[in-house]
Amino acid sequence: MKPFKKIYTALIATTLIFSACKEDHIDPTKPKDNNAQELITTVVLNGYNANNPTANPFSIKWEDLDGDGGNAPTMDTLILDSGVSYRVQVLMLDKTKMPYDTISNEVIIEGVEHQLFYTLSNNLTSKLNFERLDMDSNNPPLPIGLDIKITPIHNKPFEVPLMGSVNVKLSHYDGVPKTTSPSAESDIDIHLPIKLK
Amino acid sequence: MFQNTIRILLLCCLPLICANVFATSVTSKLYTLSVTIVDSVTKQPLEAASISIAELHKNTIANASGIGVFDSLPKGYYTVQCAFLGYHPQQLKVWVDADKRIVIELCPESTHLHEVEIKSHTDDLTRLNIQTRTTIDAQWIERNRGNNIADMLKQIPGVTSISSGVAIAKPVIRGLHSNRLVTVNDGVRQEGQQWGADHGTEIDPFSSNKIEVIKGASSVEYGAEAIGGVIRMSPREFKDTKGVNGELSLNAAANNKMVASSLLLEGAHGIKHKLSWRTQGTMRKAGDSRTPSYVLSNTGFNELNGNYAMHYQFKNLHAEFTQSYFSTSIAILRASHVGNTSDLLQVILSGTPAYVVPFTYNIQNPRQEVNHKVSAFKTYYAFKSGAKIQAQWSLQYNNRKEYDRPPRWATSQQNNPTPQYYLQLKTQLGELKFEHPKWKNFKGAWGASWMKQENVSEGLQPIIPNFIATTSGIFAIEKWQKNRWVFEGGLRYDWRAQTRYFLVNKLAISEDKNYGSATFSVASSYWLNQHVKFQLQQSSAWRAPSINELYSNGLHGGTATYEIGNSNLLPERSYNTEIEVTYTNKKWNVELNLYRNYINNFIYKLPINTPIVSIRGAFPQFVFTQHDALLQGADFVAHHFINKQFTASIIASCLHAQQTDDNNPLIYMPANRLGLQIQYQQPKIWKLHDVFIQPKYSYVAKQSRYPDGTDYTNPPDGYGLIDINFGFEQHIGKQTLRWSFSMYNVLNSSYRDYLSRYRYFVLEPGRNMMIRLTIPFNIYNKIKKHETI
Repeated sequence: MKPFKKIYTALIATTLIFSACKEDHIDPTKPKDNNAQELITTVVLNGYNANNPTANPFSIKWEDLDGDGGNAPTMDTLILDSGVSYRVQVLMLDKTKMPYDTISNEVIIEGVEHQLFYTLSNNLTSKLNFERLDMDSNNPPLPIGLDIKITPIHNKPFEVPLMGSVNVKLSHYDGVPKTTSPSAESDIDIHLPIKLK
Repeated sequence: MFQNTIRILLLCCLPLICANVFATSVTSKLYTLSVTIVDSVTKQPLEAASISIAELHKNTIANASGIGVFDSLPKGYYTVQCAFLGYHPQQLKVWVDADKRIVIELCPESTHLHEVEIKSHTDDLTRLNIQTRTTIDAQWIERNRGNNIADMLKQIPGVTSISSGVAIAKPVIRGLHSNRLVTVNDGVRQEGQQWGADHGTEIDPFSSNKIEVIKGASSVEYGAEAIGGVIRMSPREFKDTKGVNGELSLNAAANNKMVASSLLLEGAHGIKHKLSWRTQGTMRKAGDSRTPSYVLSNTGFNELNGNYAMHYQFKNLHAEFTQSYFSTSIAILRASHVGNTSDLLQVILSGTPAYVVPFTYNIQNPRQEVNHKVSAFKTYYAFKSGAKIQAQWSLQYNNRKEYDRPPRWATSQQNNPTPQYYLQLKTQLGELKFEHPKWKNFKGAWGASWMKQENVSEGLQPIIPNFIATTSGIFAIEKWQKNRWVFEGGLRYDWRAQTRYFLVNKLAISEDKNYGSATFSVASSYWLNQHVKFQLQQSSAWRAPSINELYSNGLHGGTATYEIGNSNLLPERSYNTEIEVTYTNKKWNVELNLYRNYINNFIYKLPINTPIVSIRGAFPQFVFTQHDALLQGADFVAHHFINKQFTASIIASCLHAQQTDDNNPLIYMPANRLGLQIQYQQPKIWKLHDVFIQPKYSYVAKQSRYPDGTDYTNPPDGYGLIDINFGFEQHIGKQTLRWSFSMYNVLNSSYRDYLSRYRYFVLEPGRNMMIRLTIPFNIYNKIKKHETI
């Protein structure tokens, strides 16, 4: 019977091991505020006249402070003058953090894996040109798109004001090579209304 | 004389309890068992005594010579039950591996009862239940064990599975799944976050020796929620003879390079105070699966499980303590986690996954980390009168962490990822059952159950709130059996009190909801003659809305949908009618089931026209809603025993599921299917024993019934797959090796399955080969060789 003493001992030991695994204390009556998530709550476009940095300034934003669901996002209209070229800097913020977390700085650092795409609504494609000026360190370099130039195209006269929109998409290339087309993972995908005067 | 008969029979059978062979109708050769029932005093045959085989749910009536014959029994270990008015019922375990004749002597109730050991499961109310059920035995499980448990159950007509890759699959019974089914493992109701279609079954696939699927509402016995059916998994029975032995199982698969091994040890000691034990450890590791054209990147899993059980017996008192631990890491197909709806549509349009890298065992985000712990204590006392009292208490912890891939700019999450949600569920369950002795022609059981669940949700976006829910129920089942008729009736009442805890402006608020309702079922079966049996069942069951249906609020990464609960949902109530006809003779075994399940207030997800607009784009919004639904269909199975070597089988099932308020088809319902199988078996070829070859063709039709315009794409085309199973037993000296080989999807077909949650993104896995080896071994055994068969 000797070998079985060992087995009994082993069994008792296992019992102890199993019972000794202390369970997480579960108390449903005290819900925690689960707000550690890093979000992008706000996209800001700061612009000025490309030929005169002090002229035609604007700052507009797209904002959804409570994240997915909940309250609907708010958005300003991008009002552009058809006679002016604009230089625009794009800022992405997490306003749930104090001080605000500037996500766009991270995007610049991770530039090789990110790219912003600007797609105009059909009625604006022949009227405006969005040009991405900042480049990543890929070889050959590919645009990032946080620093842009908006130029009106004067091919034929059109009636103003013209209402349209631009789709701003931040594509994320994680494990897939960055190319000139958007990836299947969008960190940002918003529509900004445009009023072209 | 009587005691001797019993003793010899028992002795013959005992070593085989551990021999891992239970009843089946799927793979074995067929034998005839002839049972003669005589009065133990006068030795006169007892005409019209009822004889049944519990495992196969076969019943017969003894003829004028007291003889009842069971045709076409597969090799196996059976419980033969005999009953006759005015006699003590008798139950015997019989090993059938050849045509056999046994004599059972019944004691008249007037005489003193002989002391007979009655062997039965602790939780065995099943003999009281005449509902449609299918059992998968140990041998079948061993020969078909694959990536998950749900895949094994697909062999049963009416059972399909909803899957998220090979690692996550859960059974669907006649179109119902998740929280409409109850899974019972080793007598304990398995409680995890089973509401999620991508939350698999958290049970060691090597620990089950027998799986029973009960189709249709079984709520009287198993509690509200078993509205669609029950899956009962049972481990190996405890070793009965003194000694220690074990079994080593090794599995390997080619497609995802899975390796799995499981070691089981069991023993029994003592005679008067008998202690039996069993312990098992399992490890499974798999890498990325492959379709015919590309690797499914990030679809591996890594599983580690352990359990032990102890059983103590003193005379008629049994006590059992078990603990089990299950843990798994499951990689979620990288290409299935898309940004938003337009990303998803782009992926569907391109037809190929966005992310494919060479094969790896690595598990990256998105992934699931789940562990499940169960401790259970069961005890029962069997009275000499046949009555039995049973008490059970269990404690379960289910921890589920689901990780998404954090965006690159989220540096703190990159360095130290927080799960998207971390759900901790604690479940305590208590059960008390009393089975009364046979009285007139009645047998029955009464019981009460109590369950308390506590859930804590944490993480970045916990999808369900914290809650405490208490469910209590009482039930009674009675069965009346005489000659060719069996009637059964059951009644149950359940109360559920649920409190949810949530924050409003950082202030904890609680909200109560209470439900209570009754469940009933009536059934009858009638043997027209030796071959034909009719069965009719009518039942009504209810289910309180589950926590996610009431309160879920969040984004479902896998399908880019935003799910919103509805706290005003009412309980569901089902009215289920079922007719079953069985025909059995030497050559045929045919079973046809027709069912009609009307569910009042059926809860499902309804897409809403206005999408949720977020900074990451637009997501379609699904709101839980309820309407009346009608699910009706048929399940059919026929085995034709051509000769001793060949068996041909047909399995078919169809389902018509309609939402009756707007008269629209219900979404995500399994398509009609058909399976054809030929089995060849030979007890010995050359030096190989128990040789079998089993080619199989299964066809799944295209689901043509779906609500228009609610899904991203139409259901995929139908498909046909060929599988081949082959195996044998090798005897090297005293050592037995059991081998089986399977090739799935032999033609390496490219297909998509409507019930796969990955179907938007990728094809299903291609050809797969599996090798399985089981090595039973003996460490120490008291039984001498000549006493065993």
